[in-house]
Amino acid sequence: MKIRLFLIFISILPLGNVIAQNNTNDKYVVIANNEIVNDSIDISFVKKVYGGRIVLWSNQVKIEPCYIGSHSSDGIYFFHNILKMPEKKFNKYWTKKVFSGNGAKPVMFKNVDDAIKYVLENNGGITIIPHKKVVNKKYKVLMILDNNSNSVSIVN
Amino acid sequence: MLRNKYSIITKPFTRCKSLYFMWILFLSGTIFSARITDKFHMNGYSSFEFEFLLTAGEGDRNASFDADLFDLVFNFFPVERLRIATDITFEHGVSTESNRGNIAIEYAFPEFILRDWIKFRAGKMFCNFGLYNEVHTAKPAFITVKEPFSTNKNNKFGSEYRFYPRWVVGIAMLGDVGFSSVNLDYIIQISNGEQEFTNPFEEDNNIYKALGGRVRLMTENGINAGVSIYTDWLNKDDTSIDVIPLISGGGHLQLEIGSAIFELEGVAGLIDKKKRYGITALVAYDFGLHKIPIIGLDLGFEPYFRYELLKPNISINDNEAHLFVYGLRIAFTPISSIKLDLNTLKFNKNNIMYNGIKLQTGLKAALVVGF
Repeated sequence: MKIRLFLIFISILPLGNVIAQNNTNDKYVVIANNEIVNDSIDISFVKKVYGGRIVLWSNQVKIEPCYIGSHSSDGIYFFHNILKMPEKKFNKYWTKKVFSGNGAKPVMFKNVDDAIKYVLENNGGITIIPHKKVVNKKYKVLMILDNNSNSVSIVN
Repeated sequence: MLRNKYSIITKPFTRCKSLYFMWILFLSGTIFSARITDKFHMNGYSSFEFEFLLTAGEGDRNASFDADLFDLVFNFFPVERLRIATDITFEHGVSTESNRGNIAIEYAFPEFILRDWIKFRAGKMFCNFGLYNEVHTAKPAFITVKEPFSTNKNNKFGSEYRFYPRWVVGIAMLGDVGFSSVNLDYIIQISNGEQEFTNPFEEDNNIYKALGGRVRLMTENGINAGVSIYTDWLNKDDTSIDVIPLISGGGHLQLEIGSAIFELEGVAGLIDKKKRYGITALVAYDFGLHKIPIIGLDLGFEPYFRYELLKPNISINDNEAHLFVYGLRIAFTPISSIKLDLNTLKFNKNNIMYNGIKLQTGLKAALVVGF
């Protein structure tokens, strides 16, 4: 009984929740390696890619997704506005998926430049970066998103 | 001087180099988001456990520590459309010299991806049934210290035989189909099934193949619902060619409503015309991260309660087994947590595990890391 009470006592210790907020007003873009044949995608496609539900592009090239962690505003945008789930839930989902033998988790980077480099180096690479970081046409821009993750235009 | 690969001069160097390479491989996997190259991903998990039986009954009265497991999970993408997956487990501080512990392959298979909705696997796999079997060794992937007895290891809870085996060797077809915000995934497995007297991962002891499968719906808002089936024909004994049917069907539901988590799994079936069923229900609440000023850490608190019921044979009265699990999971980094469980077990008097004790209570704890 004492142990039960102890467990209940510890469980009601909450002292101020730590939840990151996204205050960015930037536009974001979904970019992919030039080797893929898709010229546009929708937000549902992006969600399925990061959930490991879609693993091949239209030309059957393996999709290689990467993302920026939620330690930065870019990462917060990705989880809050696109996946609409906290990073913790995303990690929990992938923990089950990876350990049950059902796929490999998308690769996480700490900054945008590394994510862009990954997309350039991998034929099926895809990621989400701030619009202001689009400086050349070495990769495809598949979708531009406003700060509510609505598609505002499609380039290419 | 000629030196071949068996040379006593080169061999120690080669061995050293291999060990160094393996060490670097291991470190790079753990440091860089568990990814070594774009084509090769390494993950893993470990579980260190403690068990203490607080009352009379069967269990650990010595309050033992257990180096339960250390698992390495590899995903290799050698060419487009092909994924090689394996999980190698090292259990109970394995030491082959003194015949202690265990090394095992949890699964090892190539997966050929034809389309997102049709993939094929061949090799050793988890039996895809319900919520827990595929992650039963992966302690970071579920809330409690141990997976449920009633629906997963019912042979330790009063059944003569499990509803379905842990692993199968055979071929599988699987895939994902998306409908708006709902995803449907399916898997069909044809395998040797389970058997006692020969290695089912090498040869079958009868002509009958086991057939298993699961269909699951998952929504973006955290609902996971599915049905599973497993059928096989088992030899009655080592020498007999007589077989008995094993049929199990199950359903599961997992809900996440805000910070509350509900899990329900039910399995029913028959073995040799004896009907049986098991139920597991779990409720948990994730309080999220909270700053603890004294220790300067953000800790996550998740209390949980699980109830299990097994009726091993419905034609026998008073043979049920019940388990009540009261616990708390404390996350202290994004990849590690401590779980504390209080398990109260009750076997009714006609259950084969009944030993004259009405209730027995034990403490289970685990330090779990997943990377």
